[in-house]
Amino acid sequence: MSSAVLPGPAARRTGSRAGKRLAAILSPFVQAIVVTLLVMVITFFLIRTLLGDPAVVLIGGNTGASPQRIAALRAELGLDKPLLVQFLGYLAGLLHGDLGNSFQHPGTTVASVVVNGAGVTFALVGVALLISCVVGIGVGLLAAGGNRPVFDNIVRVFSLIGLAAPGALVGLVLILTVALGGRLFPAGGWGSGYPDSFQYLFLPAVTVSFWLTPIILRVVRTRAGEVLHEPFAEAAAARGMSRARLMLRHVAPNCAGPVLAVIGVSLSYLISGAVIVEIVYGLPGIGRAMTTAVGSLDFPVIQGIVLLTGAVVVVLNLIAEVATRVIDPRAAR
Amino acid sequence: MMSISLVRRRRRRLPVVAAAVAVAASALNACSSPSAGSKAVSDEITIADHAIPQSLDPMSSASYETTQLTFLWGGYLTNYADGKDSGSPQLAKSVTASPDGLTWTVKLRSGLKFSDGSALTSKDVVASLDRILSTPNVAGDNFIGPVMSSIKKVTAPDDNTVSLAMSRPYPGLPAALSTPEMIILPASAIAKGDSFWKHPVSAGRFKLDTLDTTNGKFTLSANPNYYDTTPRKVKKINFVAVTDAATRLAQLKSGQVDYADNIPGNLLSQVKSPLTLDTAKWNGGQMGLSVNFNDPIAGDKRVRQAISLAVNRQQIAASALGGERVGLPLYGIPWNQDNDSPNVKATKQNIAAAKAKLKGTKCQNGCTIPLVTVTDSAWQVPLVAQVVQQQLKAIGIRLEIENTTFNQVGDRLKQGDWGLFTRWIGYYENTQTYLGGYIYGDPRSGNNANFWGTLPTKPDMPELKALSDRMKTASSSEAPGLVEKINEEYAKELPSIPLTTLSYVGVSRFPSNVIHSVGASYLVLP
Repeated sequence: MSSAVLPGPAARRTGSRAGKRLAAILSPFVQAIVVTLLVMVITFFLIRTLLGDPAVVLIGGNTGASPQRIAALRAELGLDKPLLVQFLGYLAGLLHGDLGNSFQHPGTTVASVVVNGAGVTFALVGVALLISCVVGIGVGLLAAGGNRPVFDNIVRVFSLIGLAAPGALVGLVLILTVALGGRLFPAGGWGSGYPDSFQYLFLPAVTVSFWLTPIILRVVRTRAGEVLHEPFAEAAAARGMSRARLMLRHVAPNCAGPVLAVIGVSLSYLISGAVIVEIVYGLPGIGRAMTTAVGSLDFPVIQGIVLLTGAVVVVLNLIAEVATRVIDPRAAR
Repeated sequence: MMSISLVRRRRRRLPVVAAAVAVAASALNACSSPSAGSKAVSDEITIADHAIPQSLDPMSSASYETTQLTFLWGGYLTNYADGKDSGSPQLAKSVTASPDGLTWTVKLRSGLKFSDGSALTSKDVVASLDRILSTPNVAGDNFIGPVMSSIKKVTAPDDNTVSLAMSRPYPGLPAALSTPEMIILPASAIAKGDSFWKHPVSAGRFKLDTLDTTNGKFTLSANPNYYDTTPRKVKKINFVAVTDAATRLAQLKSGQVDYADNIPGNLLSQVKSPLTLDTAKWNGGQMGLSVNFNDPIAGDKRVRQAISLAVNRQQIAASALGGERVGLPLYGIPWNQDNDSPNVKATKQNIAAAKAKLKGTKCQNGCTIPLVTVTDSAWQVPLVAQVVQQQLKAIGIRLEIENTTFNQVGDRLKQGDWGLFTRWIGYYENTQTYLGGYIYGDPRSGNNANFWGTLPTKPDMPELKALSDRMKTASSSEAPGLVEKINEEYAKELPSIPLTTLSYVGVSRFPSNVIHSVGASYLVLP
């Protein structure tokens, strides 16, 4: 009997490609949530284990308060419960959107402390990013664009200074030279809302951007240099396209991907760098709120700030990653 | 290639653009930076504090920044002031003692009001003092413990009279009533508890208008109900917290603030006329080394005496503190607002004599002593520790510095395995009575392990203990002689090692006779 190979049943669509696509889309979000939760858990247990007893601080315990009084305050703050019970209580509050109340300022919600401070800090970081991008991209393109050894060396020296100089030092130098010497901007402080506060933002933002600008500049210079040697760029130049047009229309967009990647990676450093700058300039941001909270062992405020900044960094990284993939689909592969 | 004319046009535009930016920046800044150094005091001043007050309640926080605010908005029975004015009547018309010193009668001025317009009567005074008296273990408090442990009961025979029954005579009561914790608050508000402190009310020269406790920003304006209607120049005060000292000074120089408090010694050389330095001495202000008597090395009197001989106090004042304006060499217990140490010989550094003292001790051939230091409170402390560490190498003593924070130091010292502790201390009360607790731990308070101003009880110093006990009830005429004897005993035993006096230096845009500090945190304003 002859046998023939009959065609088998049609290959079943298992949806594996769709599933993989969905996983690829959801994966960063899931990772973001997991990382944020991990940061929250670690912070919660770390501060309660390492930082000391807030009840002693609040009561001015070093001035001779009785152990009974300190214990009573500890119970009032819920600090006498086991750590796990405290954590579950905190988690339950979070699920209801309640970050708790400040230990140091009874009746003041953590949310109000964090939101008020966050407005200042994110304005600072935002303006710093803007300055970094404008200067970094602009100078980077200029540096890539021509044979200017003097200009290149100046840029190189300033890049090194920007990378090496601590933020506090940069801030103080700017205060002494620009604010006091040049009387161009206030020497720190904060205004009574916007637009008055803009003048107080500029020098701190320059200080924060001092570190990121050289990095963006180098990335742009290198990438722009590569793009200029691409066949399409050389062809465009050969057809008589002006240098400026070539740089703006063709080279700059090709630098967006690496710049976004750098920004994404640098965000957490920008926010932590803002802490020092806020102290130097006396800005009422979450950096200063954090140092005050750590000094007074205000656990709920510390947790609230860590949670917020952790979440923001994770989300912004996510946005940067998505934007990179959108701008350059090759990055998605 | 870009056309040459285009390049030239662009190059010409650049200076114009730069000039426009500079003009715009100056315009933005124009309104907010009055020139530094103008000498006329306006009716509104801005003060830059070095820290954010942790609480407005002086019972919760004895910090400099809280006290500075409290003295401005708080009403007190008596004035906190310089020298002989300390304890002079404020809300009280008179404060008089019975012949045996066991009853004090306070007569209030008539028509007193709080800043919110409500009447201030004796029942508010009673409630305010009872608030302190009812605080558990207040007798052990290092600032108000001595006075509060002397008050048995406070009553109000009528609306304008307060009677204090004492358990023992306390000659310094009028001055003690001017200290920060003795603030007079509305009885009804005290009953409110913590919510009162969101916007507290008292009867001081100023009232609190806006409070940003998170960022340390406060505004105060003249209290329309203040008992003293003498016209005053300053009617509004803005407090801002600028934690970085260099920035604080920069803001003063740029005119953003009028007074910058607590400027470290290393920055004082930057202060030039017309800016003025304002030195505010702490009463009994001292930088020194406290001793753990249970430590076999530091507990040895000979080692302590050797350390006292080996340190160079002038060098500590010059290099750690930035000059004698911030601290003067100190050889005994500081007494009165000038922090003199009567009858105590100034000693010069004497390495040979110090080494001779060490013979027969555990440090004869070198030793290590753990030194606990707090790094996040007074800026002077870690600097003094480092200089002393260097100086003691000359006699073979190696100080092992252990840094800790203000919040954790109490627990750290209770662990016991330390030899010396770098302490800084000052008081608000300008009387001799705090010296009792200052010099020698009071066993009744159970406060012996507390580092802040008291020492662990050392049983074999009976003479010093007896003198300290007598100090608590000594009359003002007896006290100076007692201090001399105390210092004589102190020099023999050295239960702690005095190094320098302690002052805070502020910088002002005005002459020092216009704005100045008393007792480090009481601002005297025109």
